[in-house]
Amino acid sequence: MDIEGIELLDVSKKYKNARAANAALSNVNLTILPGQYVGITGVNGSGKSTLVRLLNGLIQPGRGKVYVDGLDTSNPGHLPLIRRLVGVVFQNPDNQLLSPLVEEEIAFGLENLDLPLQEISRRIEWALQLVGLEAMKHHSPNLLSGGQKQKVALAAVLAMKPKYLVLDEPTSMLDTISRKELLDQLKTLHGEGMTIILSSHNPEDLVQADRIIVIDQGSIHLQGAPWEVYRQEAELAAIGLEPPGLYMLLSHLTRNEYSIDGGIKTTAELVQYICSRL
Amino acid sequence: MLPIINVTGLHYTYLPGTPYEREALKDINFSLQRGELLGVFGPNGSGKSTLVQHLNGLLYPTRGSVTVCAADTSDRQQRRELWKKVSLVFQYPEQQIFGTTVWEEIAYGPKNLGLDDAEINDRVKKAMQQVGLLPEDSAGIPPYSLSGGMKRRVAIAGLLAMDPEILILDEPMAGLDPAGRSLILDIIKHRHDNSQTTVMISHNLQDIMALADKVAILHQGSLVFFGAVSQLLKDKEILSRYHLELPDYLQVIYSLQQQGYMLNSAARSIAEAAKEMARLLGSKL
Amino acid sequence: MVGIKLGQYVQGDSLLHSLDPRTKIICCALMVLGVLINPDWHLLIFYLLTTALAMKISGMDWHFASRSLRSIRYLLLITFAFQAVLTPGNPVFELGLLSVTREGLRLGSINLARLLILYFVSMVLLRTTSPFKLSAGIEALFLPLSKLKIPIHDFITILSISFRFIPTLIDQAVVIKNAQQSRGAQFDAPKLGIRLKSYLAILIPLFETSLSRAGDIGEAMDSRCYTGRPNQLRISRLHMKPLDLAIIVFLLLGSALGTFISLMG
Repeated sequence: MDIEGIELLDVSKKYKNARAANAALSNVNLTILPGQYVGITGVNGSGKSTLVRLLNGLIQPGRGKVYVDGLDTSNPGHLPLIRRLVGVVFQNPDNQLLSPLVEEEIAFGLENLDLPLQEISRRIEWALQLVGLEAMKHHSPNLLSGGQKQKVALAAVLAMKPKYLVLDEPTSMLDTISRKELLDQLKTLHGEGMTIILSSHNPEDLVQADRIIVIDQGSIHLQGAPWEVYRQEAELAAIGLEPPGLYMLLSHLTRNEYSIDGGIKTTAELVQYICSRL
Repeated sequence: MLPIINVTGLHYTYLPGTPYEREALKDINFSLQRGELLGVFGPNGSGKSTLVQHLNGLLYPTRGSVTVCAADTSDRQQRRELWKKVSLVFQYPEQQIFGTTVWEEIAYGPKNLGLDDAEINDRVKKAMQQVGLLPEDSAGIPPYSLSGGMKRRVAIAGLLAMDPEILILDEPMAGLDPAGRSLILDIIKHRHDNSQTTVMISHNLQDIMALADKVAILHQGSLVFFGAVSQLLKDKEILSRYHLELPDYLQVIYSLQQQGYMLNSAARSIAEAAKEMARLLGSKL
Repeated sequence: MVGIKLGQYVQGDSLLHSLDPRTKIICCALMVLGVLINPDWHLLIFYLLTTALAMKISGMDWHFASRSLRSIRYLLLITFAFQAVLTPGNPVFELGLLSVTREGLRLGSINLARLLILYFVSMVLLRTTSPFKLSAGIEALFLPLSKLKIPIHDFITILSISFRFIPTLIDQAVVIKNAQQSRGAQFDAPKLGIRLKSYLAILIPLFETSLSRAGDIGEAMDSRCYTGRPNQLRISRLHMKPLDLAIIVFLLLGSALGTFISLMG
């Protein structure tokens, strides 16, 4: 029997020094199946970053286990394969790009996978095309904007053809336009079958997810479909989060006794819905 | 009443006379009264940071004039003293922290102002309280052991402690979670309530729509809009052209209005907007 | 950043720009070695002429050369003066207690020539080879060493990452400088103490940012399975042409000849 998916079994993680930047996790149980789009949210310091780093073995759980397609992340022998399956894009676009040329950045992971030169060249073309940056192939990353850098980082990960794509607050340092482009890109990738795990403290980023997991002080506080989670305004406010404006609007309308379709994800859809009822 | 900031015909060229020459600001004209809150918007590269650096004397015009707190920035001496009255919080200000303790970091600016120890102490304490840090707990901590959000508070406190006449913030909420953003907004609101002048750069209109007295929109170095928020909200063309995102509730109201439905667009909150929509739905039932 | 700094890469399409970086590195290394091992006039004159020719071809004219000489004039002067005065031999003229000897003048001018060659040859190398091509050339040359279990690729990666982030660091330093200036730091204060403290206000944060950046890069590298494999792509882009080989051979022959003549004479 083939075990597919990422599993966290009773995972706890404590840090020895009390530095606030590294948050602990306690007794987290989570399963992510292939093809899902999972959003993870929580305030800074809630444990989101710790959780994300457990998924590709960058961090080991203090207690409990993390399995990727049946492989144990605490087994060093499994890590190379796990990191081929799980690709991670991080928060700071600048601090992920380590090569002097965009083309080489994409090649970096591929060289590490020991692929033949021809395959490397092909994948570079393919990945840059996916993110629309073919023209930047021979440019230095220093010349790129924040949004473009993040796209290069994404392309560099996608070129390795991961099965699970994990993103740790990828939009937090981007401007509005770049943020939108990145989220649209993720939507497209998901449509093509990619498993997406997106962590963000901005609730707007997660409305496209199938499922949202809310973390507070190291444990899972709430989970469910976006509408289910975001309608719980009071619970979210208690832990320092706010639903997206649209969902607060839907909440208010429901309070006024109009049953609103929970499938509404954009303002355009809401407008359409209202017009259809008039 | 003389405006506290007066910018006339401001042109600024980077590296003039070299092959890298570039006109970063073109013919900027605006003025701001004491106590007002100005929001500056524009995409990356539009010249926002360059503009605000003219307001504290870091830069001076290639052509035109900039007068801030009665100082003419083309005059070297006046320009060099301007930092004492105008504090500029750069983007990701936590990256400039170098003090060995939180107290030392925040005291740097006041020390440079030449204040006496008692005054410095007082200012550091007040600044810490303003950013939500307890002096008793946090004063002696090395800033590097703090989280990103806390570091930012320390950095901002460092500039608040200088008690400036004008506080300029360059994307102060970048990378912060809702709690962090809330804190920054509180600081700005506090200043506004006390009639202290503030300038804030943001790429998110929603952040200070409710507070700003004036809004400036920059695009490729030119000032394409300057006026009150209410004026801006009426100019749909500018809003869409420069990707200024309205809050969702306003977007819905405007779209419905476009479809011909009668809705009051003066709604200032989600609750009010929902009431308007409910009224609309109710009236048809 | 304004102005072309001495030692900085400048784009161009001279012959030297188009050479394989390995050629330039080998020739540079050869001349450095030759100058250090055999300081005799025949070899030195050959190298001086070759270097001057290389400079002319890559666009460094006399004006540029004299400007760069001016920046190290004290070093040259002191080297020459010390050698002239401290070498025992037949005095040419007296300067109070010190005497300038014929042997001293000879050795002084030889050392002067050696310094000039070292200085200008490395300048040609850095000016006509982009940092990126440079590390590619170094990697390609030292690749055989990896068979001896020397982690050459790791060193190249370190070099590469440094090149990538130098512009970023410079930009960041400028921002931090502006930020501290906005808090009253004085970088042109008359008192040295104040100036030093102001510069510390740039260096410390820069250092701290670099540390956390290093942590992030480490995570990114681990996540993309860094194993220390050679950069096939980068190396495949290097091509030694007949001209490259010809130049290397020319230099080898010239050096051999120069050394031979010295040994004979």
